[in-house]
Amino acid sequence: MTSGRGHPGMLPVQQLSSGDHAFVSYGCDHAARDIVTTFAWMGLAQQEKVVIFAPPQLKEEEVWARIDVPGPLVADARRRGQLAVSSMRTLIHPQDRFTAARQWQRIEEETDQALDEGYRGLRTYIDMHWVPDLSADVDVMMHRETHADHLFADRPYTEICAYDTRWFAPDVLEAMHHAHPTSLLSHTGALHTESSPHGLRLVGEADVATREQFNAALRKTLAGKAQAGQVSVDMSRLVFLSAACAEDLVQLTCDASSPEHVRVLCRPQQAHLLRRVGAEHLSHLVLSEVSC
Amino acid sequence: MTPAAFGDAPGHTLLKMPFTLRDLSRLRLHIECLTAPSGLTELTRGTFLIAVDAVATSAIEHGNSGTLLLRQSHESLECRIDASGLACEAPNGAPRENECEKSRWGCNAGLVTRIADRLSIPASATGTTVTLSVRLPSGKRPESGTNERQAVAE
Repeated sequence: MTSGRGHPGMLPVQQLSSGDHAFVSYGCDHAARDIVTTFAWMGLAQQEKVVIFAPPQLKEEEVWARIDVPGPLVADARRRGQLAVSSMRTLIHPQDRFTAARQWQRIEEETDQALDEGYRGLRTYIDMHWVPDLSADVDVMMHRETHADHLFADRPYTEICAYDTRWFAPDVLEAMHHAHPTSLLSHTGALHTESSPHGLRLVGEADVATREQFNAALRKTLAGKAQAGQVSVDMSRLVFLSAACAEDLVQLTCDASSPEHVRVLCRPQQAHLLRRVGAEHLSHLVLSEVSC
Repeated sequence: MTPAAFGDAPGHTLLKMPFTLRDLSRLRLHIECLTAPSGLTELTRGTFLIAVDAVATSAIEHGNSGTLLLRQSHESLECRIDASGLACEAPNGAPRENECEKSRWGCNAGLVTRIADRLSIPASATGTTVTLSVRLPSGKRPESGTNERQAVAE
C-alpha cells in the first residue's frame, strides 16, 4: 500500500499498453513473479510477442516455473514462440560488451520480427541483473534508459525495466525511477492513493486487503474538500474495485460532511457496479466514464 | 464440504486453488486469464469476477481461507468456493441457510444474487460451499437453475 505524490506516470502493471516504458522495483521474488506473470499474460491476451529477459542467475526452467499463469496458455504460447525467455547476453550476441546502440538495434529487429510473425507488437520484461552480469557501467545503463524514446515512438513496443532493491543502490533506484516515463506499483494487489488539486486519484486494486486505506483516503479527501463544494475522485487507474469498496464510496458520499458534488471518474465496469450499489439514486454523485 | 466433493460438478475444471488473503489478487488474475476465451462480454466477465471476489472475501473474513473451483461446461461458467471456516448451524445442528446468508454476505448477498445467473448457498454443520454461475452466450440455461435462484430469493 502506498500513498503520497508518487510518480506522475504511476500505473498498475495491468494497464501498461503499447508504447509504455516502465520502471518497477522489487524487494522479493514473490513480487517480481506477480509482475512478470501479469505482464506476460496481458501481452499474450493482446496478441503481442512477449520476451522475458530473466535474471542471469536463474536457470531457464526456473523462469518458466515462475510464470504462474494457469491452464494451457503459457505452454501453447511457448510452443509457438509467442512467449520466450532470453538474456541480455543472448540479445546482444555476438557482442560481449553492452552498448546502448547494440541493444536498441536488436530490440528494433526483434520488434520488426514480431510484426512479421503476425503479432501486434513486442513487449519485454528486462530484469536489470544483467548489469552486473555483463559488468556494465551504471552510467551507461542510465544513458540507455533516458535516451530510449525512439524505441517506443516508431514501433509497437512495451518494456518493463525491473530493478532489484536488494542489489541496486538507493540513489540509482531513485534516479532510474525518475528516468522512466512510467512507474509501476511494485506488486499486484497494491493500492496507491494520491491527492490532487481537485481531489483524489486512486491507482491499483481496491479490495478487502486495501479497503481500510481506500476508505481513509476517501474520508480525508471528502472532508478536506467539503468547503470547496466539489470534489473529484479519479478511479480510472483502478484495475479492480470490489463490491464492498463500491458500497463504501456510495455511503461516504452520503455523509453530511461530504461536498455538494462528487464527481467520480471511472471505467464502465466500475460505473456499472457503482450504479448497482446505489450511486444512481444520488443526484450529487456524478459518474464520468472513461476508457483506459 | 471437502475439496473432493467438487468432483461432482459438471464440465471441465479450469482452476482449483486454495487461497488466503495474500492470494486474492493472483486469484483474480487467474480467473481473468481463464475466462477471457469464454465468449462472455468484458462487462459480464468483470461482474462475475466481482461476485467471485465478494464470496472469496467473505471466506477470508470469516475463515481466513477457502478453496476455489472454476469449471466450464458447454452452457455455463461456474465457480464454487468452499469456505470451510464458515460453519453455521442452529443449536440443534441443523443448517440455517437464511441466517447464514444474512450474517456472512451482508450487503453483498443481494449484489451477488443479482450478478449471477444462479446462486446457491447450501450450508452444513461442517462448512459452506457457495456456487456462482453465469450462462455462456451459446449455451442453454439449465432448468434446475430456476429452483436454486428461487431458493435464495426466499
